[in-house]
Amino acid sequence: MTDASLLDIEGLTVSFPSDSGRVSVVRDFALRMGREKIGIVGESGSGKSITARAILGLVPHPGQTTARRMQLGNRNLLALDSAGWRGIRGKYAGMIMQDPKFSLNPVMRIGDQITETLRLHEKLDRAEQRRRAIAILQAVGIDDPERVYAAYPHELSGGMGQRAMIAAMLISSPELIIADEPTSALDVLVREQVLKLLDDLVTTRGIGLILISHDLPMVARFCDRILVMYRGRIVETLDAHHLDRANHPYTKGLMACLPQPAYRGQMLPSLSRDPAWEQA
Amino acid sequence: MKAFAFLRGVTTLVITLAGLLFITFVIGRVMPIDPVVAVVGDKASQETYARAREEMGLDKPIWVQFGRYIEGVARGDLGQSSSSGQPVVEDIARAFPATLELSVFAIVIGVLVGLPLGVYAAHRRNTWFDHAARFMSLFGYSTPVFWLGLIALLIFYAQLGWTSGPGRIGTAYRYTVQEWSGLLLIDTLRSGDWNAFRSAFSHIILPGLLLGYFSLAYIARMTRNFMIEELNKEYVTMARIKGASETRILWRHAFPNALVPVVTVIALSFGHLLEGAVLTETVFAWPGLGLYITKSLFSADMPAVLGGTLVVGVCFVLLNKATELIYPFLDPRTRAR
Ligand SMILES: Nc1ncnc2c1ncn2[C@@H]1O[C@H](COP(=O)(O)OP(=O)(O)O)[C@@H](O)[C@H]1O
Ligand SMILES: [Mg+2]
Repeated sequence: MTDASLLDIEGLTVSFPSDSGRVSVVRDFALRMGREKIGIVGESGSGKSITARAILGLVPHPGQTTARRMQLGNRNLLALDSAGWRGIRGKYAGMIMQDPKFSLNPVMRIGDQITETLRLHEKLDRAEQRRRAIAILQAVGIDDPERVYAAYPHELSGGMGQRAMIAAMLISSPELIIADEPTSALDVLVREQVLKLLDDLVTTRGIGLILISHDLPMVARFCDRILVMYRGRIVETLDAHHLDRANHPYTKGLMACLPQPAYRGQMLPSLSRDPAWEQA
Repeated sequence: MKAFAFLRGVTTLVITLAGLLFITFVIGRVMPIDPVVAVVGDKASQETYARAREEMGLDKPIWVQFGRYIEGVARGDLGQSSSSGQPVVEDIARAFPATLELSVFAIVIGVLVGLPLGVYAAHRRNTWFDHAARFMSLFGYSTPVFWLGLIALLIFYAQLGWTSGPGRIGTAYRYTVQEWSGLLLIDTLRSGDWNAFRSAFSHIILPGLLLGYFSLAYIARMTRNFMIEELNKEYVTMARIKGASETRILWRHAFPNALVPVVTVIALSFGHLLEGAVLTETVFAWPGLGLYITKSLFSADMPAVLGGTLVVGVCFVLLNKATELIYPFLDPRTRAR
């Protein structure tokens, strides 16, 4: 399971120009993973999304990405030109974004948005594309795939939209999926279902998953290992089954903010910045 | 449900048109121009004046007058032009196709050049291409049309002799063209008269390009802005994540979304063209609606001015309706369920 050969990143740094020179929003990120489930947690603005985009070569202009090593399977991502990246994205690595309300194209039918991934990477006739799209829609737990196939995004609920999004990413059987806060825009009731579904799918299909969230316990339930990011750096790597072994004060702080039965009825503590977190 | 929506559409259309009629009617009454004097002249005797006034129905209460006006319009009667002596409807039937032809010529250029220009400027935003496109648009906005028109005439007609001068077609062909659509480019082609077609074309090219330039400046600018807005949306990132190329993202993802507001811009632009590019028509002596209304205004020919204004208003209303009808094809969210 942990043949650490799917994704291998070392020294990943992303910087943006600012008034006071270049600012690194991700610093020296490293990750080696196989077809396992890795969680990345951290407060908002800690660089999780930018890291995810950097892995897919999608850091927006004028950001700059550098790394000592970036390897997906046996493909060297550092050597890719834009056509090379297009051959990787969608086919070998995909990403599920936060809110289907924004990440689905409002004037394109769901079916076309799902088959687009296929069309971009494989030569298949229309009927075959459709067959595979219907099959994947069924696999993501949609009961009436024919209707959803012909529907437009605004005709779907948030949970359905996110399932369609997952379908669009899984249809070409990628090796790696990054899910960036995939459920935080959804109703609390469907969050668990969608996460469970995603978890099942990547497990049964042997896909590597990077699950990004600010919700540490949620990530701990689904992942094997957890990277804790703070201000663009990985400050701690945790075994999901041994959160109690956390050393870093920031991680401990994160956990202290969680509701615990012992403190019922009291105000929850909140995090305030501590200079000590910067030293890791 | 669909029948209901249709009925509602027709009702609003009728109400809007009635409002338009009312406004042109009121404008006609409050204008400090005495329509009676325009007919009988200011040297007419008291009796002649009074008789004419009575004949024109101006001694009746205002609501009776409005009723008659509506009645006339419904019969297709916009009154008699005091300067041409012809029914206004006939004058307009001659002038309108000229304006329509020029407007269509211009809007086709505006769309064919303006859209790709705007899309590409958005794609290359803040590069020299975008700056050049912006400069070109700004120049289009801020240059007086009659000045550009005169310069164009001076260079291409007077100096180089590449095009024809004022008017719609050479005098030799003016009475030989077989009228069919009223659009000379089409009518001459239809009757296979190449020389007449060439003459019509060399007449329309300057004012057409000039107006086309103004509408393409506007369309390109707005398209650029709407495209940039779309390109910053998440679904564009999503398309990139699927492996889509930038060209595909531009035309298959962002453009169809930007098209929804862009269609409004195109309709607006076309509306302004129809409204009578008054100055352009004046400079090029183009016998269209704009020139007709301006001339009528100067000779205090109220029925003609009102008739022309009404037609322009109706064009606007219909154009608006037409865009409303197009929306559902572009944006599924506006489709009736
Ligand atoms: N396009 C950009 N230009 C400049 N700075 C950016 C840009 N995008 C993100 N950042 C900065 O990068 C940091 C990390 O952002 P992000 O990865 O979105 O955080 P997270 O996903 O952990 O909430 C933030 O401080 C943000 O201000
Ligand atoms: Mg984020």
